Amino acid sequence: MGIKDELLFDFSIKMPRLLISGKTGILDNVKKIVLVSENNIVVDHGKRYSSVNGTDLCVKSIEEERIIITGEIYSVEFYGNRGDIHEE
Amino acid sequence: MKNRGSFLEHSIIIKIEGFDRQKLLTECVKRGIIIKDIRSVSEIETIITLMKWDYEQFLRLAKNKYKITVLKESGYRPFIRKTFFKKSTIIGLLLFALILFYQGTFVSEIRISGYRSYSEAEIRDNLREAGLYEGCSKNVDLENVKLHIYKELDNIAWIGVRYMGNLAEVTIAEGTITPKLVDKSKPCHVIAKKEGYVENTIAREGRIAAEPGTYVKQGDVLISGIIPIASTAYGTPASGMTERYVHAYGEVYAKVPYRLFCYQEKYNYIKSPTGNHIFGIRFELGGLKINTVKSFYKYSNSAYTEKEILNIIRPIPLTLGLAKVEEVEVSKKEKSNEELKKEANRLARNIISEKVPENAQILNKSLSFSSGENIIGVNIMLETLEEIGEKKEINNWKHN
Repeated sequence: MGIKDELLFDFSIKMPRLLISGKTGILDNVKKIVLVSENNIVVDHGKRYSSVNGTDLCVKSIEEERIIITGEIYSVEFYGNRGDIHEE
Repeated sequence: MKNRGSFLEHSIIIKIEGFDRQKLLTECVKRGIIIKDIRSVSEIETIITLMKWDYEQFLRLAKNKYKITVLKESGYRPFIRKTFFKKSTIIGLLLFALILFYQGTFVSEIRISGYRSYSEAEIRDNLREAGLYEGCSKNVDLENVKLHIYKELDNIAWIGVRYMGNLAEVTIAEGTITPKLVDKSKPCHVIAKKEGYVENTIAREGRIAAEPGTYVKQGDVLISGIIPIASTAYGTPASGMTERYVHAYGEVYAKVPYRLFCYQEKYNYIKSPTGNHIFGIRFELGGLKINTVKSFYKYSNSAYTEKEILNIIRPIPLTLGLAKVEEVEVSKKEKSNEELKKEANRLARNIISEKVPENAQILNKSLSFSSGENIIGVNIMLETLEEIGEKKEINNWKHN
């Protein structure tokens, strides 16, 4: 990644930034919580939404625009403002 | 990040009931309220954990749109508050402190050191008589205890008593009363340490001064350390010498007579229960002693029996016993000759073990009785064979 890309990434405060590892997920730049349930957690990052799907999901903590999620994570989805969906 | 303590300090678990709970959580994120463990229980219920300091602000945000229920408070602050602000806890703590303090006022253990000739049991018994025993109050006068020990036990050079917490440490130093030994290089006599009839003398060095059959008194010379000589060193200064001095030693056995006297009861006293009795409780807590039987005692002749139920020293000295006082009628019956002899022999054995040295051989023993009004005197005549010699240095002797 070039310097320009890195700077853009760092200053993309309205874009989703996720770190998923094992049974823990860290979601940054959270502006709004849209849905919290056992199987799905959806948050709004400002320009896009991200959705974490799984079972026994629990938000361990919310602070400083960061959410830490625990549970059995199966998939992550991103929703754009225009309605297009990317799944990873 | 605001520094408002931590979840460990004081946190609350609350249940939020209502619709659009996400909006409330979003508001909390915006206001910097830290939330933990968000768990969706049902379509309309969510359980969250937040710090106590944020609760007021959280309620303001929630307004009346949601039903908020505090499920649990956790953290060390509420724990301390719950623990120390309960009446029962305070009473318990006070009681505990009181027991600790009370326990500290008693002697729970006595450690004795430094004794040699006395047994620990003997010293313990004497200490108990003086008032120092396991379970007694620490207020006991130690000077009196020391005086009692000095008085009761011979040859105590020093006694120290000190408290180490509940432990009383008694240190004893016994004096040494070993007979003064005569230096082997110095001349000495063997003298009689007690009176008796000389039976046999084995003089290994020195001259026999008391022949067998001689009655000697204490201090009489038995083996002399002065040997007469007939000097043949004519014309020299040594020709004037008529005796030489030696370190006399040997064994002198003598028959020693003993006349011992003791008394015994003329009658056997028989206690027959009348059937009247009273029960009571003996209770001792440290220095507090209560015996209910003594309060209701009304018989002129009685027998006291007790069954100990509890006797502990730790954490506090406590004794509990069931006492019974039984009225008895006392009748007396004159002892038979056999009983008298048996008792006299028992008394004689006791008195002999006290008065006669261990290594003495008893040659003759006779018992005679003299009757009094209520008592019978037992006259014990003994003849023993024992070694009576002891060394004594010769003073004012001249060098050979």
